[in-house]
Amino acid sequence: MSDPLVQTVVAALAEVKHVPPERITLDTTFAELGMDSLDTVTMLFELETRLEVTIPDEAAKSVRTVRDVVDGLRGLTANASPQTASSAS
Amino acid sequence: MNGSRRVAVTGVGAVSALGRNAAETWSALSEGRSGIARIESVDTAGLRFRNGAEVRGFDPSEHFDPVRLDFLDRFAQFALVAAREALADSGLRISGDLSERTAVYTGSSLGGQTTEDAGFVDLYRRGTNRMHPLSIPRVMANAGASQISMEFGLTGPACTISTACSSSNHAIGHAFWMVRSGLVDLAIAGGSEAPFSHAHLKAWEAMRVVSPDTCRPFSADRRGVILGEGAGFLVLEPLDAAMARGARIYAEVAGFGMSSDAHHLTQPTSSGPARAMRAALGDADLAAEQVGYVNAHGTGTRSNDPAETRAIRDVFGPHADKLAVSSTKSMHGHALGAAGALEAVATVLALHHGVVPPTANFTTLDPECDLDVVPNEARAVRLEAALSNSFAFGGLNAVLAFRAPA
Repeated sequence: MSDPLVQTVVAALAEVKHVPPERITLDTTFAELGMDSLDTVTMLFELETRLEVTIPDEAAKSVRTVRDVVDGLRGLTANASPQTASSAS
Repeated sequence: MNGSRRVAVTGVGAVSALGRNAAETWSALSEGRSGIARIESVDTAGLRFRNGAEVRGFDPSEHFDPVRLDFLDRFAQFALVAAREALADSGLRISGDLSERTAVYTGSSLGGQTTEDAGFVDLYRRGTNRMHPLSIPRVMANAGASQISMEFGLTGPACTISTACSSSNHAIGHAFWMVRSGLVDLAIAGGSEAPFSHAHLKAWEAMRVVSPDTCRPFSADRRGVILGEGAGFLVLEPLDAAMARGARIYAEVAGFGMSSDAHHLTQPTSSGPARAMRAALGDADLAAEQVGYVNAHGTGTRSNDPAETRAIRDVFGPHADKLAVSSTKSMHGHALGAAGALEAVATVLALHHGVVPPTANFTTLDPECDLDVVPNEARAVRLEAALSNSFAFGGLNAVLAFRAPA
């Protein structure tokens, strides 16, 4: 979890749901976090602010896990480190 | 519980993306013509959506002298123009005791937020360190009600209801109850909204519910709401008084029902809307089978349309398959606090003309929205009664029931 992009996503989710970041991993699902539609748009707002990117509505629709978010952001952020994207375990 | 008086709609007025008055608006509604187009009043370069349902060709100076205009935000201008039309249409001239016995009820979600936005731009961006002295009276959400009261010298009950997208239905419903119960002898009721400012559009963008193209309620490929603006107003009076003076009776307001989801700020339920529809039918003494048309809330979001479909099926049972259900937001956009009022005008005129306006921009049916949504073309139908649904963010539901004139 040293990947800065993963850390950013975890930090954003931790802030939105008011949970300790240690409880969030790449495999955590939105359902486990109790994310609803308003939480999701708030998370996207946090990520757009922190990463200085614009996340299109369409790209945001299919995300269900932390990994989905990280994978989706790879394509949007120039400074993401690609080698950590597939280190699933 | 029914009061003793029946309540007639004897005047209608509208300003919308479909036209500058009720006749133009109805003409577009009955032809299935959408008013959705590129947004012109706000620079959309930095926005993820480009389209809206703006009122076009509205020149305030045609309606107000320059001194009066200084006091009027766009949303209050719309309110006055539509209320003037409704009152003129009713043929009533209010004077004497009736002035004290006339209620004014307006709905607005946002008040004069274009004025507020412009003031904040001056203050924060331009560093003017001052706000215009008329900012407060222009921005207040009750400006429409106050301006209508002042213009026509109406000294009876007047107030504004702000319940987001249900504002106007709550306003018309309460005005109806006032007339029915005999607390007043006349009401001018409706709502207005002017939501097109840069900051407000950015706030909608962040919610990710605005369609990047058009509004396709109940279609499988629907992509969200299209914001609209304008005003709608009705003149409500006791049926016997309307008949005694030989007034044109467009329809009766038959009932009003409300409920609260008590669930979530933005996620709809089907149980809350169903309870509001049942309450409206009960208040109207209408059986479900008497209803031929439902003007749906029908926002065109992924969430609303299936939830509303389930609610309609729950309330109407097998009769749901015989109902015409359309969302006129596909044409006049989602006018927020004015939505219920524009849809009330549409529903009243549907009963009056025996024509159901369609759901425009329809492509293919979503199996989760498997109602007769009157796709793309208006339909001539003999209607006995109709409902008009409004379901607000915050879970506040308001449903009006109308009956065709006898």
